[in-house]
Amino acid sequence: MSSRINKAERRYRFEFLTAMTLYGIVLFGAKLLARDVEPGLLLTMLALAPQVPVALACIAFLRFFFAADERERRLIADAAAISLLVGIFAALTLGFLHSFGVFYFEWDMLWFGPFLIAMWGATRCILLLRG
Amino acid sequence: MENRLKELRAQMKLSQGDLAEKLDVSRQTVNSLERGKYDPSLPLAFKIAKVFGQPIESIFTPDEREIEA
Repeated sequence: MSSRINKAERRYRFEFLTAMTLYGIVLFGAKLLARDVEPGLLLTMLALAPQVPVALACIAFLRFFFAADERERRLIADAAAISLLVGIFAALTLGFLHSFGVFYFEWDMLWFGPFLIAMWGATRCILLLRG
Repeated sequence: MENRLKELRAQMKLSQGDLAEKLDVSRQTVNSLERGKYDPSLPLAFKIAKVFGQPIESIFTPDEREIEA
């Protein structure tokens, strides 16, 4: 492997794991602190605090994406396109079921990000296995 | 697209890792190229041609279906 790409992968793993560890800590801390806080600016800041490590993880991923070679970028992009279509299909399915009164999916939208990431990861693995 | 990458790499006594280093790509990419699973972009094809000191068309041969109008 090219030493530059090897280095970029190591840096990505470190930055992503650091961001995810921070995410766990910040989410736990924000939930704990928000218990007795009235709605307002402070509660809004606490609610959005976990987005900071998420943004750090996104930056780490983008750095990795632009450091990757063309085949890896192609795999990532193909997997992202397929995941986006599956995500749109899933969202529309739940939307139609809701609007026709068949079923109401009561969860908030927090599931959608991890769902897309899981779809993207699985699709990338399938594409990798295909060659 | 067919190519002579594996043959040329063997002639130069390079490992896949060595070639990956010269091309600034991952070893997996070299492996995919050799197995014809991935077709390189034009800039990468030129880089490959430069490493082996041969013109692109002597390294890569398109399938007949690919060049039919």
